[in-house]
Amino acid sequence: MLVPWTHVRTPAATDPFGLRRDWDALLDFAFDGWPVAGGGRAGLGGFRDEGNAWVLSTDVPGIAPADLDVTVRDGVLTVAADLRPQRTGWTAVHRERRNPSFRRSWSLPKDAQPDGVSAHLANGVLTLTVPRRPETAPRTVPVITH
Amino acid sequence: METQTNERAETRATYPSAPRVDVWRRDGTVTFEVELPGVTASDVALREESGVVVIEARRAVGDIDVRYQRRLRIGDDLDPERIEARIEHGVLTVTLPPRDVATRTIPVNAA
Repeated sequence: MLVPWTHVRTPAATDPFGLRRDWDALLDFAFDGWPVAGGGRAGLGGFRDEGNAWVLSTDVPGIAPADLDVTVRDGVLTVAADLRPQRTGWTAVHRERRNPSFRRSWSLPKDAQPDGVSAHLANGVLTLTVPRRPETAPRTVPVITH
Repeated sequence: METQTNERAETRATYPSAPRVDVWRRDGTVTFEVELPGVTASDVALREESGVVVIEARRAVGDIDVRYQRRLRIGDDLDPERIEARIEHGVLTVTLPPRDVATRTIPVNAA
């Protein structure tokens, strides 16, 4: 299948971060178009590990809080936006923007705290935070001898 | 430790980006919808110079300064003096109404 390559906007040669961005763009493409800003990918897919929480920041321009649906059910976090941008009576002369609708789910890791999941949307940037349970210290079992 | 912080501040990278734009038209009015996620009204600059609308915005993403820039040519039929813009949910909407065409009646003189 041929797919137009629109993710790469800056050649790696002229941008020190170009290669990483191209790589990110490739991963975004592989993970159903979900763009990720500044993230490592270990652990919870697309989220970055901030020690006490997994955090994901992503651009969702045009999406208002009312368009967004965030749920945690049976250990699965789902984020969805169903939006059909309408300009009734207007004629599209030129279009570059992608349909902002999306749906993405993650299985939360064992150490996640589902009750503490939060979503913050400001100026078209969505930040999801999944808090982690503090690491439980291994308990040393004393060996009793007689 | 403080020196380290300063060095880091100096090495912030600038990343140029051309935002995506949709262009719409109705009854001679043209509207641009420009994707500027993470940008607030105070971080956008909009100007018109010789028939080109220039949109510039800044945004910090982690250690990187993203610098959005887009130049959009507009037709002679639009009135840049009455340009209007607002930003909401990371999308800048720029509206350009048509020029008022003054109708001049030319008297026809009898010979």
